Amino acid sequence: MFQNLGGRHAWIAAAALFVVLGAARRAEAYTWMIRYGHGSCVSCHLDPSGGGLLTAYGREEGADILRTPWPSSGDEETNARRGKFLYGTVNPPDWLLLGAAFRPAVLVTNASADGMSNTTATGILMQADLRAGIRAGGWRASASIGVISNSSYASIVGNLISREHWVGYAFDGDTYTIRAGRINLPFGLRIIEHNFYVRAYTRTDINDEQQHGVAFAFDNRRVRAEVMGILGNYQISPDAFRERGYSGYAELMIAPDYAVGVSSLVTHAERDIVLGVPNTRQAHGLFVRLSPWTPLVVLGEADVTVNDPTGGPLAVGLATLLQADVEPVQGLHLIASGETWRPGGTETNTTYGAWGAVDWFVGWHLDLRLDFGRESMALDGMRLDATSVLAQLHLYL
Amino acid sequence: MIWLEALAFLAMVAAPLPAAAKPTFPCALLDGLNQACPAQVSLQPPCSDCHLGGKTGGATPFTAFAWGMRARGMSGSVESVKTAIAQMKIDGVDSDGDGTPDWQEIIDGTDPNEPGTASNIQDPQLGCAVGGRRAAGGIGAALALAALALVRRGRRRR
Repeated sequence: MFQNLGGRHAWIAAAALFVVLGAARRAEAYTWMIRYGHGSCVSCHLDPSGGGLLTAYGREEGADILRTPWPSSGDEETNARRGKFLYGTVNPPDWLLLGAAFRPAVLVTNASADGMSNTTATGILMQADLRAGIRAGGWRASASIGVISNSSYASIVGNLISREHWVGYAFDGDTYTIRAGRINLPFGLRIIEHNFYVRAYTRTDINDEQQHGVAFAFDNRRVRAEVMGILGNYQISPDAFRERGYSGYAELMIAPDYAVGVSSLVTHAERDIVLGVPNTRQAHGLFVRLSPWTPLVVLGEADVTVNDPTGGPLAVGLATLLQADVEPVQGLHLIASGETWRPGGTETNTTYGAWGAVDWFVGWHLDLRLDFGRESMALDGMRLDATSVLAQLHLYL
Repeated sequence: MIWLEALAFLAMVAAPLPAAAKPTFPCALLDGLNQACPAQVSLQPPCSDCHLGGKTGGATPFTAFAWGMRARGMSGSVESVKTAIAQMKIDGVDSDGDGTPDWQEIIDGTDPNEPGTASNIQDPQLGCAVGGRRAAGGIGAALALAALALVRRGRRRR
């Protein structure tokens, strides 16, 4: 299996594999790839709406444009091999896609209110996943399995999780794809920052908010869209907690580096997972991706949320996000984000968040990220301030 | 072959992991309010009072109620939970603004983070094996195993 394996690389690969097995992810999705004219997702990702497993082309592109190219980098052939799964030490057949990721983090938070303040620090295993996918003719399939340190809606048992597992078929050169299984909800910007208000309060993150259902995707490189019939998350129970409805988006590429889209979601659960009562939940919004200058990508999203719980007040809220990603040197990302959240209902004030991050794709299959965030939360006329520092290491194979 | 072994190993190391929960915290909340803790877990304050969506662990204690508790000294110890909820009561914190202070909602079994919630809120059960069904979640492992078994077979043919 480990053919063509040099001594040093063998140790690197073995160490990486050991680390991945000992712990293995949160899905990757780099929306800012639009700066390179990659507005469409399906050519690089097995998931037609992006994120997760890479196609062979996606790996090649990633090897070329994701990391900082050091002057001592090897020749073209060596680099092409290094960009492959497990640094090219394993050669799966063309129809089989493999991947793995390991993302440990340290989170330090400070909360202050009414003159009181408290700081806590915690280690988090955010991601430790193995992924396998099939891309044979029109057939498509993908599955992930991993462990994390928190309990999760993706749990199979305990801390063993499967974020996604689906089978499908693609027609007409991936213009149309139909899938069934546990799938990322098609909604808004597919970003890795799952705690942003636009993802958290629409419950559409790619961390563990996937649902079981059937999805139909369309992508002709000018328009991409996906709509999913949601049957519920069958990795939680009892059945009353499961949401049924739909989620979807459509995005128009106005130019190779400029896209605008709309999203919509309506679900109903007999026992809302947050409210504990029957609730019909809606989210509808707009999003934009724009790269006016190659090193700069601007992402924006605004979503209106509606919660109509039985026995509770109707709450019409608004979540917004504006993010700028600057890449002054290939592989080094300076990211600034601002976000707001107004839940509606009895809460009339707005919560604000501001984040700054440095994400450096320092070498093959490795990036280091440091986030600093400040939030001012509206709590019934009071303000609670939170400061967060998050340091992450991300090894992806 | 190595992948089948890898998956088996992953399953073995992952399954016994604790869910990173603090099962003593719900009772500590009631203790800090001088209330007896019911033996029945479903009658105790749910994890979702502090943890987003009831998902326990260090990355999720970010509900409005949890932030209020953390500002008042809640950390990783049971004692800090007791003193923080006592301070919440003194301060009269009402995180969801429904007119009922958080400490009273903890006793009543309603959600201090959301107005209009029913009493005795329960967390969802996480995982495929609960609720009497081993449903679609198992498909993931089955798919991965099937794909990797195919790789193994393909290698043997070469």
